[in-house]
Formats: sequence, structure tokens, C-alpha cells
Amino acid sequence: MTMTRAWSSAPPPEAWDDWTELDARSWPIRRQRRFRLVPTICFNCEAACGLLAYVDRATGEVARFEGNPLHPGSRGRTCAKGPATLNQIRDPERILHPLKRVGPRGGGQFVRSSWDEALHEIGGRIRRALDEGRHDEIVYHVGRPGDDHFMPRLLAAWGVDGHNSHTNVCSASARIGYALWCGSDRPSPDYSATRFILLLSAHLETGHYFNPHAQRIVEAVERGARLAVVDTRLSNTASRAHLWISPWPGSEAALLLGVARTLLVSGRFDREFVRRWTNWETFLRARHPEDPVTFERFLERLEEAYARFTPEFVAEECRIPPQTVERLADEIASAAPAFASHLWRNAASGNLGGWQVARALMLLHVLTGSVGVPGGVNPATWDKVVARPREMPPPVRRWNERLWPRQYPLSHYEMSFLLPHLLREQEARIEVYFTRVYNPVWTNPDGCSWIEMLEDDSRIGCHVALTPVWNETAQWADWVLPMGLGSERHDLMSQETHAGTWIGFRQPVRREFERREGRPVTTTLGSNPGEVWEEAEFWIALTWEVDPDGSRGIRRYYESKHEPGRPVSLEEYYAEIFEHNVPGLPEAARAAGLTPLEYMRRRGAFAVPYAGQRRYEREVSPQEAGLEVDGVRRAGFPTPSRKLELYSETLAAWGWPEHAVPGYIRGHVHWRELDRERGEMVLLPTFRLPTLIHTRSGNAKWLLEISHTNPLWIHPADAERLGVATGKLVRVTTRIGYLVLRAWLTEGMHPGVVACSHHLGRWRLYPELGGAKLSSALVSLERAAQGRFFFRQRAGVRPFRSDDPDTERIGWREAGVCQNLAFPVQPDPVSGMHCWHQRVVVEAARPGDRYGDVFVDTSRAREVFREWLARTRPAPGPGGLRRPLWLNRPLRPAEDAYRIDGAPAAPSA
Amino acid sequence: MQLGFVIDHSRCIGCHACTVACKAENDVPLGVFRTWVKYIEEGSFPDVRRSFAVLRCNQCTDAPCVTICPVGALEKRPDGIVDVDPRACIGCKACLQGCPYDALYINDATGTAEKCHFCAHRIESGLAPACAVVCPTAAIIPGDFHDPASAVSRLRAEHLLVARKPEAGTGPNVLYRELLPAAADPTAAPAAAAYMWAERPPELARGAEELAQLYGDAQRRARTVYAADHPPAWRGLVSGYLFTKSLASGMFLASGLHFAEPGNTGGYAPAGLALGFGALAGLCLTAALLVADLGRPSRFWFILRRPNWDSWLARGSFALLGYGALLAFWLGSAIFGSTRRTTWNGMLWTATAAAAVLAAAYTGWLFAQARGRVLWMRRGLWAHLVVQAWLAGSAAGALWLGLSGKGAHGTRWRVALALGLILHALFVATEKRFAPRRREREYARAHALLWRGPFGRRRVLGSLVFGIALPLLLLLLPWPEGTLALAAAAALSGLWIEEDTLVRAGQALPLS
Repeated sequence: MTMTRAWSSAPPPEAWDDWTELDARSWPIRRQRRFRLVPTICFNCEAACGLLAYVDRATGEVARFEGNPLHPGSRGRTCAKGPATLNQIRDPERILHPLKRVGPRGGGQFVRSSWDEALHEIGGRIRRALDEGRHDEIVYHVGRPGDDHFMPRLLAAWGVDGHNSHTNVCSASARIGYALWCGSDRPSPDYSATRFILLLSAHLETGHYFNPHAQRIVEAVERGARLAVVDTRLSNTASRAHLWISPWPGSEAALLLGVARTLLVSGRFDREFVRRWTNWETFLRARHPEDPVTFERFLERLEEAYARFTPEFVAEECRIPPQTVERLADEIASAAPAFASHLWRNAASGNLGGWQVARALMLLHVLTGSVGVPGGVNPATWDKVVARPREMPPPVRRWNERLWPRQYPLSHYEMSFLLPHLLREQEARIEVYFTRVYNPVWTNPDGCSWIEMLEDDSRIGCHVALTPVWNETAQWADWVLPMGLGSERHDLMSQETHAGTWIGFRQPVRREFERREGRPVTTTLGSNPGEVWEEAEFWIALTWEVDPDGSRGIRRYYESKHEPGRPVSLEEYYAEIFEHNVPGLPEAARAAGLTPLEYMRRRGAFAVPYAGQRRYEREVSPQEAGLEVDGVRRAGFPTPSRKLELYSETLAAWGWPEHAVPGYIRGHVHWRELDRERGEMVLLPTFRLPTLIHTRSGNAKWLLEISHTNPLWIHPADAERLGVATGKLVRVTTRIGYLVLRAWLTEGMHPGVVACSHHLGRWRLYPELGGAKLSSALVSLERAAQGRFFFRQRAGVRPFRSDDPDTERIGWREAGVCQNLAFPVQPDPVSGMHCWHQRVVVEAARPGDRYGDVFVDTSRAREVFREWLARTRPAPGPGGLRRPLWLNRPLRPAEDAYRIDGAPAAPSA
Repeated sequence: MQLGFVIDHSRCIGCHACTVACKAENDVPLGVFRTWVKYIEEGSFPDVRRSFAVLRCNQCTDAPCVTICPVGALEKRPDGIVDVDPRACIGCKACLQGCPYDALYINDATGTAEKCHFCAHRIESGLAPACAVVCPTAAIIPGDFHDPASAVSRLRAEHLLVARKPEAGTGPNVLYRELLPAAADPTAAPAAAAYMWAERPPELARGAEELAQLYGDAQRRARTVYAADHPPAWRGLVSGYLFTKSLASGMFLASGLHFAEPGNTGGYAPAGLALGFGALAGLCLTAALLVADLGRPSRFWFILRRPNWDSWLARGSFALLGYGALLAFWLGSAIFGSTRRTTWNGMLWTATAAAAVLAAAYTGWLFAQARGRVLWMRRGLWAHLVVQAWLAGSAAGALWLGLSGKGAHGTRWRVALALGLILHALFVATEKRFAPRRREREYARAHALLWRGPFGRRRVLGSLVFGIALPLLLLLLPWPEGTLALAAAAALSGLWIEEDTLVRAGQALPLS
């Protein structure tokens, strides 16, 4: 009865349309159950792993999600969040209908509305704003995009510079660090052939791209590769490393430069690579104009530039054992060029000048020639394909200072988390503000300033929350519009998970199921629960409301070619992309006897033929972009010099000449800066848990039962000094307020530093609205005086009655504490990244303190904002530009929009 | 064929995907798990490590859960999978105690036991178990250990693999690569009052630090920082069962004291009969408590319909039934038949007394089948339970006598009670020496809980000082009226504490 040899991971694709297996629920009665298997893409983290939905043929219900074995990135496997998608689609607290606010904004009163009413009212507001030239008053603020092209194209069609992303609370520093080197704003490590991996990240448990990367890192280690992890806190990833380095937060660049110095001094670097592919001449001319421009002289000068980063200096600066630098240098040198690394958030996102950590890390790759070679690090753009419709609207001809203020000309990207401050300083308004898979009141620092902004009609005319579930921010919405989860929507995604390229097709699985059952559906609206819709169709419908007669020239980009005068269907939309703009797909589909669309619907992902590594070496014609290296014209890198920019003329020209080469900026939380007498410590507030994903996993019961609270990690020696123990309450005071949470004693924490996961700490103001009861505490919000907010938990998580009997089995009571509320904004003057790490005072809770208390004073928050704003060196840069033309923007306007033209300076520094 | 897993902790990243995939596949309720990932931290900064242990059913070759199940709801399939049939299960939770690995739980919706069954429904459909399929790093490898060509057999040939608690003698078929000793042994890495990102149930969080100090290994400084908690499966109802059963057995045995009284030629004295009725009432209460503790009380008769004769729970149920029948017959014949001392009556009494002894003793053998609970596996526990029954019966008789104002005349009751107390004290004093074979280390850690910490305090004060020393002292006093009843009441209270402590402390040591 058991076929041990024949077990497979998944049914063979040819059986996906009619798969019979034994039902687990009736076991041991052997009852057969028939399924259709429909592939889609996970929408929990950003990795875009392939899912395979088992849809019951009898009921049309999704029974479970497994991994899609045809997906080149995730290869049939998922993390815990993949199967938990089932919890999310069955969430008994889902928002099932469009809701419209009644009463004051934030008053917690909503009535059921209709999509027609929502489209009409919101579309009308947008239309009027566009007709009156108030284009900058339309802002789309996105957390997890989940798609690579749709919204920038749509906003371009609207003529609106209104794309606001979450990037600057996430990864801006690493991005600018990488971009300044090689024109690509993130790394794509090739773990498949590497011999040494250096992670300044936690890729065995979280991050870009946890599951695909963890698979490949573990395979590499199994093959004999060595693994080192730099992380102040003992992550799961650090636990698996051969070498864990726990530096003082903000000192990481010093460590990496120490390694660079050791490699240089000992001559263990790739001279030829450095000579051929870095702009060393520029370095020499800029820094040592008197010197002869020879490579030998350059090397002397480079060594000189890093001379102070001796192992002893690094050990003291980073508070790590002195032999660390040598060990790391030995590992790198012996593996080079098969040396891979990753940095995305972590040190880069935590610290002032964190972008120099990425610059310093990339320096090690440049020195070892491990750029774009097997086992090294590729520019991410090589390993990703972005497919769009052929017809693209012209670029936007505006520059929206609400998102791109002139103080941050190099920011990567929009200064999204400053929005409340920027609107106030600019005395500006937003007519229609969309938040989409985004929850700034909870996610962003200084959430109370967001509450103030959202409550102010003179700042926000209409707030539309596009979300599958309640969240903190949606409490202050005018419209709450329910949108589909990962298996209920269309998107196109591609990620640089390895040295290869693929594209994945997210599709609403019940809609696809119905189609295959011979009951074609023309909209996702009917196949999702209740009136849950999906964004792509919503935006197309809204575009038709904005430009009902086509006179504004907007509608045409979303008009059917087959049926002129009708909105384009998603079927037509994606068929066109797949037929024309995914290389190799039409051929592969033809070979399988399918149309490209059918191929993607049935397989869910496609491995785009890979263009290989070492692309900078490719010889190019004089017409193509490139540069001459040793007499041969080659492609090079997409930087101004077409070389790897050791010396960034961009930085030098835009006000930061002292940081033009990879260097060390002592962060804002360095131990030398702390007032130890006052009991100051550093709080690392950014780490993720392997089971959760920001604001989106609050309705996944299987994930929450594993992890539901976020205590403060503290070293036992510090705990003893403060007189606290595991489970006891501590008060953490920031510059703008304080929070009260429990202590968790661990040896896995650098003494003097504390940490708290940014997951958890969800809250709601209303018993039945505002947050998942599964994961949020019911809080009262007292506002005794202007700008003073005091949150107190009235009830933690409690079992409750619902359609799901499991909600009565909830065994946890604590929902964690929302720490971000008590953080001021700390924008890095170069990258624009919010520097997450906090200087705090930690003490045992005071009498009267209760678990979950959070106090914030937004007037203090404004002071801190101005302090950080004063560090900036505003545009215009060379040529009177707002931003270097070569630096990327998610929604790239026309070149003339970059010119500042003496427009009035907005926020006063 | 013997199916099982190799779990490769050189690959595991502790991501919990297996846990969640299993929940999705098998519709596992909140609060219970078929597989979970334990986290251990060991060492001091910066030489500190976090390690993982993926824990689940071991599909044991000699599965204690199959043996202890009174109704044969658990079976060892020909392919080696241990599976449970919810149609047969009565929810007695004996399997939860039989398993040394915390592998089973009760589904509160069905009241029946569930466990990892190797996704038997999937493998019969040709699919690998859900946990193995989802695992990002392919750290969970399923296969047939009897097939030398299987992946698991090859791994076993190439690497040093270890099992959890080999000393339990269950023949585990989940083997681990690079499993840290502190992760394999739950008593080596105690947990604090909370986990790194989860609360613990209040009953386990309370006193967690203190318990940890009792059994933890201070040298190693290993700590469990995340695990799925398993609160005790047997609680007050089972303590009650143990106590009422001691009374039921002991009261009948004690009734002999009345009949052996000098000058009693008339056979059964009313006081003796009263004890007999008391025994019957105790027995009925015992049965009621047993049934009430079932997840499916209405299925109690399954034990009689389809008993598993390997199980002492089944055997014991018949022992109770037999004892009850004899007791009723004896009472009937005492009331309606001849009350004189006849051979027949003597034989009947003796047979009933033997059944009473068996009814008292069998729990010792049942507890010995609870291979998860070393404290209950103490060698000779059955004899101690017989002594406890005698103590309960003699105390009940003495209490009756004392309350009816004849305490001053109860010399033989004083002696009987004192004897019970002394024997009981003797068993308590020597219990440390009777560790179950091969489980000595675990037993020593569990035994510490009986003498120190929250259980120890309750036991030393309640059971030993109040329950043994005080009544003995009272019995030694010259015979003022009333001391007998006081002594008996103290002894009974102490016995309740003793038996309740055995049930609770026995489940306090973590199994996983």
C-alpha cells in the first residue's frame, strides 16, 4: 500500500487539471478528493515564491497551498508564510465589502458602500484635481508593490508624479551604496558557485529573498563554502555561520574597511580587475592632483586612504575580538573571486551613513574581482526581467516636492516617511491619498505625526486604504477598499534570487479554476470572497472614471485593442505582455502547444533564457553604450563613467566630496556617542522573525501561534545592572516618548545594545474594527494635550467566536508593543534612509507603567526632524538639477522635470 | 518496511515551515502540533549558538503509545507508521503519557488523540509528507530504513545519526544529523517564563525558573528559548481517580479488621459492612472520574468491547470491574445471606480482598507503561500503591470509628494506621533508589521535583509532615478521645496531596 520509491514532491504538471488524492480530514477512511492545481505567486514577503493552490473540484474552495515545483526561484519550496496563505484567505475577519467613512475621520464609523460609488467619488476627485492642474495632490503610497511595472505605468498615464514607496524605511541606504558603485541598486549573490559567503543580513530566516536564498546558501555550505555573518544580534542565520561577528551597531563599515586594508597591505587582491574596471584615475586626479596618474601610485594612495583601519583600531571601534579582521580577510582572500555577500537592510538601514557600509562591502568585491563572476555578486539588474506592455505613456513632466524634496537630491527613493512633516513645512495638501499594502501609522517611525496628518482635512482631502484586512492606518481612511490576497489577484514579478532570470505570474486561483472548469469569468470581483476585488482591475476602472470620454489622453493606455471603446481586460493586458515582452516565452509556449498566456496560467513561472555573467566585458559596437578598456570597447557598468566607481564624482559634485570613496561614517548610535552615565543604550528595532511579514501576517493564525510577542532582547549583564529579568517590564525612553515592554534575557545580544523585533505590536482603537483580533491589542488613545499621545492596552488578544473554531482556541494574550510610534524620524542626509537605530534609556518599569504603554510627543518629533534636516546639503546640484539624471527613480519623469528652475524652496532647514 | 525520517540539522534553518505545512495539510487545531521546532541557546556572548530541533513522532519500532492504548486505537502499520484511528479512540490520554516524545495531543473538537502519521494519506497517494516537501533546505528526508537503497538508509550509512532518548527503548525511527545533545534532552535546557517571541501558558510560566534550577544543567548554561509547550494531560480528575481508588481498595481491606476483632463470632459487623459500602461508593466514584476524564466519555465502553490486552489501562479496567462485581456480591451475600463465619464467606472475602489489591496495584503497572513519565515508572510503585490503599482504608475506618465516638477503643485501628504510615514512609524514603532501568538520569532530575521547588514544598509539608509525621505523633500520644480521628483525617489529607503530587510532578519534567 505504500510506494516508498515513488513519492514525489508534487503531482506531475500534466496531472494538475485533475488530481485525485486521499483526504486528510477523513483519514483513516480512504476518501478520494479531486483537485485542480493552480499556480500563483506568494504575496507575503517580496521573494515572489511560487505557490500551487489545491482547489477542490467539488466545492471550488482552495484546500491548501504548496510550493510550485516549476518556479525557478523557489523550486517548489516555501517558508512558513506560504502555506499560511490559507489562513489569510479564510480569515473570518476579512473586509468583504467596500466601506465608506461616516462621522469624523478616525472616528471608527464606516458603512457598507459599493464599488460603483467608490469609483465614482474617488475618480471624480482625481479628475477634478487633474483638470485643475493639481496633479501633485494625487499620491499613491505603496508598501509591498508585488508587481514590477503596473503602477509606475498607470501614474505616468495619469501624468502624476505621485508614486510614493516604502523604500526609505526599508533599504534606501544599501541601494544608494550599491548604485553609486555599479549603477544597480542591489546585489545578486551567486551562491551556486561560491566558496565564501559574507552576510550582513539574515537570509537564512528573512529578507530579500529568504526562501530562495536560504536554499542556495545551505547548498553552498553543504558543498564546502564557508559562511560568516555580521549582525549585532544573534540571528538564526548567525547561529548557522562558521563565524559570527557582533560589532557595535554603526561600526560595520570600519570592519569592512579593515578587511580591505588587510587585503591591500598583504597584496591579496585582483590587481588587473581593479585596474581595468575601477575609475582609479578619477580617484587619483580628484584626491591627489599633484600625483602622477599611474596605477602603482594609485595603489599606494588607496592603501594610505585606509591606513587607519588597522585590526586594533577596528577591534576597538567595533568592540570585536582583534583577530576578526585577519580571519575575515583570510576567508575572503582564499575564496576569491568565488566570494558572495549580501546586505540589504540591517546595518545599512539602521545607521546614519549606513550607505557607506554597502560601499565598503562592495569595495571588497571590487578588490577581489568577485563582481559578476561565478560565485561572486552580480548587479541585480542582470538577474531580473521587467516585462511591460509595449505601449508606454510618455514620462511625467512634473516633480512632486511632497515626495522628492530638494534637501535630499540623492535619496533612494521618495522621502515617504517624512510626508507629515513635509506637508506641514510646505503647507501642502494631498487631495487623494492612496495607501496600498501600506500601514504608515504602524510601520513608519513617528506614527502619531501620521495620525495628525490624516486627521487634518486641510492636508489630506481623501484617504483611500486599499487593503485586504484592517490595519492601524485604515482606521483613518475615508474609504476602505478590500483587495485580494496572493491567490486573489494578478501581478507580474521577477526577483534576482540567483544567477538566472525568471518571471512569475500571480493570478487569482479561483478565477482561473472557474475558467478551466469551463465557466469563464471576466472579472476577479466575482471569484473572490464577498466583494473583494483586485488592484489591477480597480485601477483600470478608476482610470476610466478619471478620463471617462478619453479626452484627457489617459484612458487610451487602458483601452482594449480588440474592442475599442471598452476597458482592456486583464486577459488581453497580460496576453500582450507575454506575447511580446518576455524573451523566450513565446517560443517555449509554442513548444508546449500553448499560447504564452495559457503557458503562464498553467505553469505560473517561466525561466527566461539567461544572458550570463561578466556582462561588463562584452565587446560592444561604437553605437552602444560602453567604454574603452585596454583598447577594446566594452559594455562596462551603467554608471556615469561606465566603470565601477571607487571615486563617486556624483557624491563629490552633489555636496559630499569627503565621502566620495568608500569610507566610514561613525553612526548616530556609536558607543562613543552614548551617555553611559545616563544609562543610554542602543536599540536595534529592525529585525524580522522567520514566521512573520510586517503588517501583512496579522491574520495568519498558524504564524501567530508560533510568534506573537516582541520582548526586548537584553544581555544578562545589562539586565542585572538594571534589575530586570525575563518577563519583567522595562521602560524604553526615546527622544520623543517611551514604551513599556517585557525583557527577554539572552546571551545572543551584544552587551550595551538591546533589540526588539519590528514585527508584532499591532493595535486597534475599536473592539470590532481597526485590526485583526488575532494579533492586535485593543488600546485606548488619550490625548491630554496637543501632540501628546498616550496609548494604553485595554485588552490583549482574546479568544473570540467566529466561523473558524480556532479563534476560540487562541492561547496567547500579548500582542507585542508598537515601538515605531515612539521613534522620531532620522533621515540620512545622503540616502534619505530612516536611520532606524535609536538612542534609548532602558530602565525597569516605573510604578504605574503597564505592558504596552506608549507615550509620544509629536512636538518633540518635529524638533528631531528639523535637527536631521539641518544635516542635508540640498539641491540644486550641477546643471541646476534636483537629482543626478543617472540615478534611478521608480517613476522616472522627463528630463526637464529634473531642473529646479528657481522654484521656491520648500521646507526651510 | 519501516518508514521514518532523517532530520538533518546541518541544513535546518529553524524556519517553522514544516510546522505550518503540517497544520495546513492535516487541519491541526491551534494550540497543538504534530511537528514543531525547538530553539536552544547555549554558551555566553560572543561564543553563543542557537540550535534547532525539529520534533515529532518517532514512528517507534516498539511504540509505547500502541501498547498503552486500552482500545487498540493506535496501530503499528505494516509500513512502520504508527497511526491512530479517531473512530476507535476514547480520548483517555494514556498515549500522551506513554510517549516519551510529546508526540500526541487531543483534538478538542473530536476529543480524540492525533499525531504525526507520516502523512499516510499522502504517501498512499504517491506524495511525500508535507513537511518534507515544504522544507526550504531539504532538511527533512523521508524514507524506508529497511530499504538499504533509500535516502534515509544511505544517510545512516554515511553519517553519525542520533535518536531522541534511545534509553527509553522505543526504537525511534526519526534520526537526526547534528542534533545538539542539549536540544535532544529537554531536561538539559530548561526554559524561562517566556520564549523569545511567544508567551508560555501561565501554568508553565509560573515557577519555570525555579523548576529549571532543579533539573537544569548549570554547567552547560543551555536554555530552551522556543518550543511548543505541552501542558499536563492528566489533572485533578486523575488525581481524584487515584485517591478514590485507594479508598475503594483500602476500605474493603480494612473491613477485615472488624471481622478479625476478638469476640466477633457473628461475622460481619455493621461497621465492616459500612466500609464495604464505602468501598463500593469509592469504586463507583473512581469509575465516574475515569469516564469524566475521557475526551469521549460516551465511548467508555469501547474498553470492554475491544480491549487491548497489552494495555494495563484495559487490564486495570477489568480488574476494577472484577473487584466491583466481587464487592457487590460480597455485600449482597453479607446482607441477604448468612453472616456467620463460614468457609464460603471467608473465601469470598479473600477473593474480594485479592481483587482489591489488584485494583490498587495495577495503576503501578499502568504508570510503568507511561514511558514518558519516569517518575511514574518507579520500580515497585505498585506495592507502594497497595500500601497507600491500606493507609487510605485504615484511615477511613479509623475516621469512622473516631467520629462515631469509639476512638478510644480502636487499638487495632491505631496499629493498622500506624503500620500504613510507617510502610508509606519507608517507600517514600527509598523511592530514589528505584529508578526505572536505563532512565536513571532523567529519574534523578524528576525526583528532585518531589523534594524541592513548588511540588517539593507542597509534598514535604503536606504529604510528609502533615500526612505522615503528624498522624504518627498523634497516634503515639496517650489515648485521649479524638486523636484517632484527627490522625486519620491528617493521614487522608496527606495521602491526597501525595497522590496528587505524584500525578502533577510526574508530568512536570518536559518531554520535548
